[in-house]
Amino acid sequence: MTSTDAPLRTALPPKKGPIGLGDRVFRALIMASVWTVLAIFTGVLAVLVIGAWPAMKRYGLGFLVRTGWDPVHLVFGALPFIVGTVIVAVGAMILAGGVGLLTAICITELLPKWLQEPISYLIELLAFIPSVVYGLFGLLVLAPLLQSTVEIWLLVHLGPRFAFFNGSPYGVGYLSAIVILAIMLVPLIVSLSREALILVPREQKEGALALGATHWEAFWGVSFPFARNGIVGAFVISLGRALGETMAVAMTIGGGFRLPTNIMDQGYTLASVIANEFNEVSSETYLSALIYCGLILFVLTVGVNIFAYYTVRKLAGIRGFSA
Amino acid sequence: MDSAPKTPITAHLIARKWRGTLGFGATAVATLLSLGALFSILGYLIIHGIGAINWSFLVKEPAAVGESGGGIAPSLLGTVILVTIASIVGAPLGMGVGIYLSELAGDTRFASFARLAINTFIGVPSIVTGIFVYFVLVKPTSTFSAVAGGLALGIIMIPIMARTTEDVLHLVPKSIREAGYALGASEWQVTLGIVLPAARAGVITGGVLAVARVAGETAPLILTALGNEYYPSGLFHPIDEITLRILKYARGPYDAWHQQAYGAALLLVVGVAVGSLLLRLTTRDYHAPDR
Repeated sequence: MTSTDAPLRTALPPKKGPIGLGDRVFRALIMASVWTVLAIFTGVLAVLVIGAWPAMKRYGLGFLVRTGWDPVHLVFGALPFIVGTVIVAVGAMILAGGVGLLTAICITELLPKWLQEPISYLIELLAFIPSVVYGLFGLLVLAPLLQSTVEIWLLVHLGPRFAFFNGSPYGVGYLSAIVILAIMLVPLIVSLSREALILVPREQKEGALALGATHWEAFWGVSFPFARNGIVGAFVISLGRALGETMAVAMTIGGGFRLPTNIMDQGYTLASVIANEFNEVSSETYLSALIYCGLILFVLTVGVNIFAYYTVRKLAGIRGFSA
Repeated sequence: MDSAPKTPITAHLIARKWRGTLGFGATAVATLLSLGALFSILGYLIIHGIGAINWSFLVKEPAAVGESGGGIAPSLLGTVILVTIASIVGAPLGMGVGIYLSELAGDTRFASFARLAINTFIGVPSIVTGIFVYFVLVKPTSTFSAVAGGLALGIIMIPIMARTTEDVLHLVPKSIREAGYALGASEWQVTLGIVLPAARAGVITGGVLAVARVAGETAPLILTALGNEYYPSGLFHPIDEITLRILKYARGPYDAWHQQAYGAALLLVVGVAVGSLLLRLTTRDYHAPDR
């Protein structure tokens, strides 16, 4: 599937002399679309800043570290949502990272060639399920299931000793949001990690095997170190997705404006608070506070994605690495 | 091989083997977990959703609260309208940027900035795009609308289209371009007449992927299209979409609503799954030619 040519990163050599009318029109149209798109991207940032400006003026950077969400007295602080975003994203990454990476290892190392493609296609099918369908499943199936099983177990066995697990098992809440988000992240982590693992040269592995390593030792000693950068990239890209996931989380996290005290609490992430509260907005200041949350989310995800872009590009060199 | 004096060498070997068996066993368990998640979601959708899908579900408007029956026809129509508007906005712009990045950009600083912008924007949460369109279109026209929803989805399509276009154009061998130039074709003739047709299957595939992606978007539509119980009365009126319908019915208190939510979700998932399958098949055809 790779072309015999080197990747065509560089355009064809610039032509000498005057270019024809057709080419001038063509280039103008293409450049117009490029500038339009860049203008839209810039516009998104500009609109966020303008929309959030009243709240930024009123609450300053303290908005990021204050709690309280009172639309009547116009007291707003985004700390609970920032904390919620981090808890949900990190929790989901821990679950999905382990399962996803192990699945990718199983597919590339353990399964016979003819099974690799069908199995990874099935798992990647998970990525095609829309977010709202995960939300539906999370809200109607997973949350009640967790409520009657895992949450009761955590409460009874770990609750007395750790405040983190000592809460009311509502069903909908952080735990449900974490689990549903983890299920959503698995296919992304599997396909990106698999791309990294596939690139390991066969000779390297065979060398290790020839030296007497077991299959498992050859994997951890040779294949994994070779693919490590790619796997790190996969995790960073997935983290970006986790931070920004909106609907599935909005439908399963329950909703709440206080700092969470335990894993079963109900709350919001930055993205889900916008989705659930936007149409309830009662004043310009409230709207502006929500946009401020959007701006924080934008900066957060763009930061993670730029980081991911450079990490992945450094390692990709060999071939296009797609998210 | 005469090391490890204390451990009999066979015991050592057996331990090493066992470690591998356990390790790979864990990876197999993880794979079963991943597959289990997929099958339980699909299973639930099919078991609970298949009963909701019938002719009137597809062609009727939603029933009044408390009444039985009713369908999601306005949501299906709305989905088609929104996706069409999105494609009109997103496909040409996305392809334009993709062509630029692959054919014209070269290694200039501006090109790498544009490439970074596209790759970064792909990861921006879609709700942020919803906020943007809310301010530039919904607020000035003081109405939620199909146009606003379509614009939001179109903007989300742009980076997806741009990247797939760039990727598939890169797969077209350089020699084909050179052949075109050797025959005296100009840049636009080579790009539009030779390179783009050669990558046609891949570009179409990218389009299907992008459409499948935005057809499942909900968050930006809450801020732009809003939703509607009836058929849309015009492009500048609120419009329903299948995921908005699923959202509303999932959150409702009635079992009949939940069943319809499962039904709509099943339709949507089957739709995007068929799309993705076509994608697989066409890309396979595309990669197959004599390389």
